[in-house]
Amino acid sequence: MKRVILIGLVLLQIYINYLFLLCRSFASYLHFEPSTASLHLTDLIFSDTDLPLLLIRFFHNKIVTFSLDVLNRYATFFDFSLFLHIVSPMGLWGMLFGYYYLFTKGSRLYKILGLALLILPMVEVLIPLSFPYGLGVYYVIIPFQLFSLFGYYHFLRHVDTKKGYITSGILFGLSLLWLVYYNDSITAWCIK
Amino acid sequence: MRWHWLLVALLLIVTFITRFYHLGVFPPGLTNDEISIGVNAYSLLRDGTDQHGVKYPLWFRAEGEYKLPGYVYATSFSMLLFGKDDFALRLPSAVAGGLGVLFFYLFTQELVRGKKKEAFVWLPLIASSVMAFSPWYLQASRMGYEASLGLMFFIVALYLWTLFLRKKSLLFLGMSVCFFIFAMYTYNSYRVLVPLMLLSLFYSERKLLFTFSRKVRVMLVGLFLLCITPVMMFSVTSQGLERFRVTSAFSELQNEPFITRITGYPVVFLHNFVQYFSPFFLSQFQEPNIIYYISKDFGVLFHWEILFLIIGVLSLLRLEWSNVKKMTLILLFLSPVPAALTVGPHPLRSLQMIVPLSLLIGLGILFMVQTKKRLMALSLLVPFILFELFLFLHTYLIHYPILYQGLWGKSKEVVMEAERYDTTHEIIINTKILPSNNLAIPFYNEQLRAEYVNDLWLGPQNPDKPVLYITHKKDQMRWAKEKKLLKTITLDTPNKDFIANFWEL
Repeated sequence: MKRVILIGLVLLQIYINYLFLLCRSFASYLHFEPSTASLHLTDLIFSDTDLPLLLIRFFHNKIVTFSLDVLNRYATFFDFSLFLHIVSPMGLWGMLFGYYYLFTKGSRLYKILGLALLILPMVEVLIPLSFPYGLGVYYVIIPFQLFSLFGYYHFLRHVDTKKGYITSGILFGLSLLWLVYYNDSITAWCIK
Repeated sequence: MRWHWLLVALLLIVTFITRFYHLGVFPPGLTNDEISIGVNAYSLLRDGTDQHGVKYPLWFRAEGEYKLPGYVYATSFSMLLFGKDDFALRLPSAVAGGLGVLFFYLFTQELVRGKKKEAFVWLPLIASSVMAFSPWYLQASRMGYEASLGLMFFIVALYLWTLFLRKKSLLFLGMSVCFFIFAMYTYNSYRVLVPLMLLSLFYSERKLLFTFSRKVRVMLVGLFLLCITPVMMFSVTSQGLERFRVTSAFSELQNEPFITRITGYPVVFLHNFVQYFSPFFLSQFQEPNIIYYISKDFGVLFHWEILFLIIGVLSLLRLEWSNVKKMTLILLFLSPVPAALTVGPHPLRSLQMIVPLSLLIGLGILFMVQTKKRLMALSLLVPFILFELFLFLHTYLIHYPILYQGLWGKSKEVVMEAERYDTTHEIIINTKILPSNNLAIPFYNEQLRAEYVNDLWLGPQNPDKPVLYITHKKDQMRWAKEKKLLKTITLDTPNKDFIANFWEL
């Protein structure tokens, strides 16, 4: 039965990958663009009137504005509604349990791998145009999907069998409904 | 320990200073909701009625909603002391913002009481500092809105609940429930949150509650039900649901078939609920609620707080089962529920999340300063933390009043200027200039007589008096052949958009 549940999750995620592959690229606000950041910097400088130039430059310079912009775009990847699109509600549960498992029982190597996974979206933020979009889907989305499977596997192993099946049933149903209702809103995250 | 108390006193002083500094003029101008509260509060003070003439009402009819009584009555008292102005209108919120930090400190202190680890002694101070300096909480407690007062009642109720757990006294239980009820009568979010919270707390402490006699339990439940009956009854009436109908996250499903609605509700709720835990929501400004943020460059938390939040969550998971863990988890999962039922993410409707998030960030900081490599970690993080704090102050004090002035309106200036022409002119005002269903005039000057016009104006009532027409710069006066510009009020923004032109017709 556990295998059937995991296969169900895999099938959901294959369909999700298919939806993402219908797009041409990730949405532009997920990408860092130096020109946009420069414009924002100019805006900030012009709002500072009657202040010493040194102070203005201390707060508003390329290092600060660009770093905050990169950080903000990276944080945008961690909008959980995007993760519901990437791994489905069932997969998100798996991901959360995966991190819980790693940091309470996992080995040091697993912990490092878990943390490394969090850095992957930074590649898409910083060098979006260096890789074709299709490849982006594979290096941004699939590692998270695999991790969600890892987490879900451990969830099923550690939780009481009956509770695990009931939770899985609810989450699978919710995931199907998610795909029905929010199928189109994937376009908020990728351009078709 | 003396140092500890000194630091707490210092924190409270700084908290109150940050809430009271230029409170009446900063944020610049009053919003529609603030003016509506102010008009009702003053009307109550003057003759015991609301703006529509209802004697001591429990619900105040406003534009598109019914306001709960808590903040209006508090403002009425504040106006009794300080008169009818912007400062008095925002005072209850600011006081609640400061007291909220104090009670949060006491609440956290009760939570960690008896903890074997010595480091936990510092958790209340760290967590309440996080709360006091949060851009989210600071902005909410400087606006004349109900959220800050509601949150203070909620935190006091939590503190009294923890006292009840320690002393097992019925008095504290009763007082805690009372403050939960006050929160329900103050801000809409607590109409949903308080029943859920009480159910969870009662369930988690059912063994303790069952030590009281049946008679006492029945009496308590009966009293509670009696107190919440008005607000619950009101909540199911069409007036009580008016606000929810406007803000509901499920409005798109309303006209769908039954099966679509039933299956759609949990998915929409899930979508909204998880958003409140996203680093995206926590670290960045969300359209279109700009007035609840201090700038487009800051979210509800600082960027560095997200890191400590994650560490805090992980250290919470490793903690043994205790009051800290139980209360934090209950608060963490219940506090975004009211906001998740509405369109969002909305920082004011989810303000109560600041309680569990401050606890978790505090835990994260505590964990970090206990690690072996703390010196290295802190030397990397402290400059970043200090820089972001200074950047925040710079943005709030320098950029905010200039860039976001237009959002707050300048109704006070318009009304004060119009007063000068009151005796000599017949005043007509374009409805687009003053917010809140034209309540700005009765709020700032009840004596001022003005006619509101949209596009239609039937002509002057007194042909001998010149007419003063106050309108937006963009409005064309098709029906006025000769006109003279007497005065222009502008915003102090870099692009100097005019907000009101005073024309003599």
